[in-house]
Amino acid sequence: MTGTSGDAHFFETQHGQHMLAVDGSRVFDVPPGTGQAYAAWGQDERAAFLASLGVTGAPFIDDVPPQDMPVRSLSLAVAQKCNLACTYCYASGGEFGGPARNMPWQVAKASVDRLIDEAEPGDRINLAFLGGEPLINRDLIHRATEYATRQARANDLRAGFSITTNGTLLRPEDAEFFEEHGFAVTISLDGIGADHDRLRPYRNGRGSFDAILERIKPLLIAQRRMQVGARVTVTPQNMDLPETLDRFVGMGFHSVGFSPMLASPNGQQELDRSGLEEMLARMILCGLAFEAAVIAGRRYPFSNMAAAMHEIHRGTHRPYPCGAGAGYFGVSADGGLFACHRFVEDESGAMGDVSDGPDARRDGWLAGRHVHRQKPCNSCWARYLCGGGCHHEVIHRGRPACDYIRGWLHYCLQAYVRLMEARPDFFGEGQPPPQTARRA
Amino acid sequence: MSDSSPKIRITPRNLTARAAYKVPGNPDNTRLDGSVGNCFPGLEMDVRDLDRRFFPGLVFNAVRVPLSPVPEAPKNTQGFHLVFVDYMYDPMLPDDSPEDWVQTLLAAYRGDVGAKLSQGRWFLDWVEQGGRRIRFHETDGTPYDGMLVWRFIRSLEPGRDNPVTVALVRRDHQGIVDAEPVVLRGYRRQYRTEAGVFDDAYDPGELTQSLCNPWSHDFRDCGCHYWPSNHPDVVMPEVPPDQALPTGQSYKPVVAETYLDWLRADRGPSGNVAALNTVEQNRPFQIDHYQVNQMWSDLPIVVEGRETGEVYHADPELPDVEPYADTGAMVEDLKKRLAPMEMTLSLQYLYAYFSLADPETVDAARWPTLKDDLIFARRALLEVAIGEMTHMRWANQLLWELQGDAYKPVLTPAEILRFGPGHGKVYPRSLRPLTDEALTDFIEIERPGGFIDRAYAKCVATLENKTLFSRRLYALAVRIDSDGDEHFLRFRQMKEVLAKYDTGQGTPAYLRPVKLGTQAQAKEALALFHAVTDGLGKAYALEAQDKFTQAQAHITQVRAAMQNLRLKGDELAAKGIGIPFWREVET
Repeated sequence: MTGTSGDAHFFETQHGQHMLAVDGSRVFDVPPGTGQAYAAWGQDERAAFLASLGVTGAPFIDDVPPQDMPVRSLSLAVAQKCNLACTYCYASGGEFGGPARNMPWQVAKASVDRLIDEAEPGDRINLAFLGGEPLINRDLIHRATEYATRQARANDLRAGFSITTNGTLLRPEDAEFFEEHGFAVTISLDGIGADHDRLRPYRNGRGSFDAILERIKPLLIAQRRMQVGARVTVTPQNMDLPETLDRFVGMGFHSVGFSPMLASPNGQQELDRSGLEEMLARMILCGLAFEAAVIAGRRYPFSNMAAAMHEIHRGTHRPYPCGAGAGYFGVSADGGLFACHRFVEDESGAMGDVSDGPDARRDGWLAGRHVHRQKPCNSCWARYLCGGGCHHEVIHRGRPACDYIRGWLHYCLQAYVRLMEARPDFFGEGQPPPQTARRA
Repeated sequence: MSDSSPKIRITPRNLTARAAYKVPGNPDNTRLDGSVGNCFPGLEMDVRDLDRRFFPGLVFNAVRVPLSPVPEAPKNTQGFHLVFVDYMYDPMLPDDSPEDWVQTLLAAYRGDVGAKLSQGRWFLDWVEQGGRRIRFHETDGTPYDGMLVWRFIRSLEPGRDNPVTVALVRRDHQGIVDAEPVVLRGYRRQYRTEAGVFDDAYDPGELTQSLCNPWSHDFRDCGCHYWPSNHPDVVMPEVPPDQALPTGQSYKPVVAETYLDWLRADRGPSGNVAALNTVEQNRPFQIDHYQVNQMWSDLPIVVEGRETGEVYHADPELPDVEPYADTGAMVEDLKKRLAPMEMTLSLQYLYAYFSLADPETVDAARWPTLKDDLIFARRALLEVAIGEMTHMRWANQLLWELQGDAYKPVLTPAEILRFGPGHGKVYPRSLRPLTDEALTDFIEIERPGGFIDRAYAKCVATLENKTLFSRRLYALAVRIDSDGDEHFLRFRQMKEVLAKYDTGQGTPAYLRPVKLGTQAQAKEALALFHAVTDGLGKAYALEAQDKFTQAQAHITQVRAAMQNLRLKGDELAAKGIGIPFWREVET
């Protein structure tokens, strides 16, 4: 049993005992037994101990929410409708509970103008196309992308584009367009074959997997600047994560990531406690495969793991789980501004409209959503790595997944130490080991 | 860990941990001017430049007392020296300012004060703020050093509530004040504006004007001795691994003794000639300014005083040395073999030392260089003999640390010398003059990787175990084990130097005819020798009990006895008598 509290978390690897100093997400090696001793101490002894290590002092994160952050990223719900009928969709079939509609050009233009207006020369702006199924409104995507590219060039900005699509409407010429503009393309694929088909059927009930594979082939082949990733929403019905991961990596995806289904509008397919435990076990299997691949010097683009490794290495410490309501907003088809793409048409995340920019509700949001204001986050060791959990899920379902997140981060911390020992070059340090010293 | 505030060792791993880990750094009372770079034209910004425009319209330099002034130089040049008056674009002094003090200053600079300050050398004499005046000279009139003045200037407060009055005086060539002071009133400049940028008063480049260009020209001409403290002036040449002794020195005595100029232009083998004594002498052979720009990255890394090639070879692995079976076995070997061996070697060398001719009485007409060579050989041989005595002391120290109360000093010479793998090979001990044959044997005995070298390898291998032995003991064993290289080189040099005096006919010119004497002939010398061993025995026993003061008394006596023994030994040798440190076994 290793000690843990809101200020430090202890974990072990074959290289010894280690400590995450929660403040600043700092990772240290500590002598064996330190965690056990820590667990037995009272609050004062713990504080004295941390002070003696020199890891106390002005906190890395204070209680003050960010103010006047420029809007850097917008996701446009270019089509609030969809040709699939996924059982758990947060957008309730793409329509967010409202009428089906397409985003008009004025709204897309206003969104680009908002990004341009708030940026300083040299900045990077990001435009994301979501839905519904965004490719239903392909013309708008083209027009908005080209407009943003022109405007960015004229204002000495760098523009990044991304799209999240179900893949069913992709055409070969899309590959060309996405490649030209360096899109990050995310394909929602919830498993292999029948697994996927069960969760992501067409409206007529037919499966979509084979059709999607056929349509994404040109993208996978064309990707250079473009990066094509697969995103898997994990439900009780598609738990074969290691197999799915292997298969998708083998298909040539630039990255493959998993996220648990925690909150659907109709409660369908949500993972319960035992489902999350099962998912954690599978995620760790995927993680071990990732570790083995890194040690062998092989690329294995398991994005959850790759991101965690680099965030832990950098010591990422965040007061929020994401940029929602800070530098990132979702824009609805009629120009409403929301905390993120998931909050589109949701009053709890509404923050004005895109022409006038975020209104005063944003400050209230940032003050209220700060992880220091969240219970029980403010006493959780994982708070600055997790940031408090997806706002949309927390607001609509609470925090059923904390044990899953802590379990995953605990594993990632261990994996970080192991990889740092075996392959410091993975983190841009040291030299790759000589061929002979490699372990498979 | 039961203590509530334990001191434990933690190692930062990820980037935030590394960045935030507080390493022991400068003490809290470290001053900005405590670093050589901060207040010297050099690698870093000279922070004194921030205050050169502390008073609106004036520009100063902080001048230090010159280290070695030429006699004809003006006197008392130290202090805050006025460089020039510069009010035209001073942001504190706009032409249209409604402020009285500004208009007064401007009028002064444009009028008689400006004219006055442009003649001769002016220095800051005092400043006044808040009713307190600080004068920048000693009571006898000697001006303060510029650094000291600058510290006071730094303490001046800015702001509308804190007016500053300054006085400037002119000093003549003799450093004597020769004009009425100029007194000006104003405010201290803040070198940063509200927006956090440097005040516009500073010209572009002014704050960094003193930065040097270290990796190019200044590499040769650095005046602040920053580089000389970080780069070597002379180095040992790179040694190919097959010619290196375990310490990394060259196997060849001449190479091992020859220092090269690190900046030598000729980097081929032909450039490996000894550096000359002074920088000036070496200059013509060094890379020139323009070459430094192109070649600085070719300059070799220097480790342990030696240039290294592509690969630095750390201490070579010991070849298959097994530790002793237990501590008892190590103690036994130290007692029976190693410590007595040191004693034997030391006495053999001492005996040989006495066999060397007296440098003052040699046939200088026939052997013009012999005197110098003998002085060298005698000194070198004595050094080696003393080295062995030091080893003997260390071996005893190992024993007393390992044995504790059971320790008894070991000061008896070994009857045989046994070296080498397994049970070793036996060499008879022998007291003999420093003949070519003896010298050859000595070289063999001291040859690195040979007989004596690695005699302690088993001790090192045993004491390496951190859990059983203190690191101090290990370090001590390593020291004895690797100390032999120097001896080997010394004997090789002696052989080279002395060979030419050995004509193969009769006693070589560098020796005197010494024969092993009888106990009776050497009675006095032997008494002195016993005084030495007795004294050492007592000293070691006391040291073993940490009674260093009492031990020191014996050591002092031993030193005196050694001195006398040397005189007595020389006296006997002059009569052809060698001291029989032990009774020689007939072979």
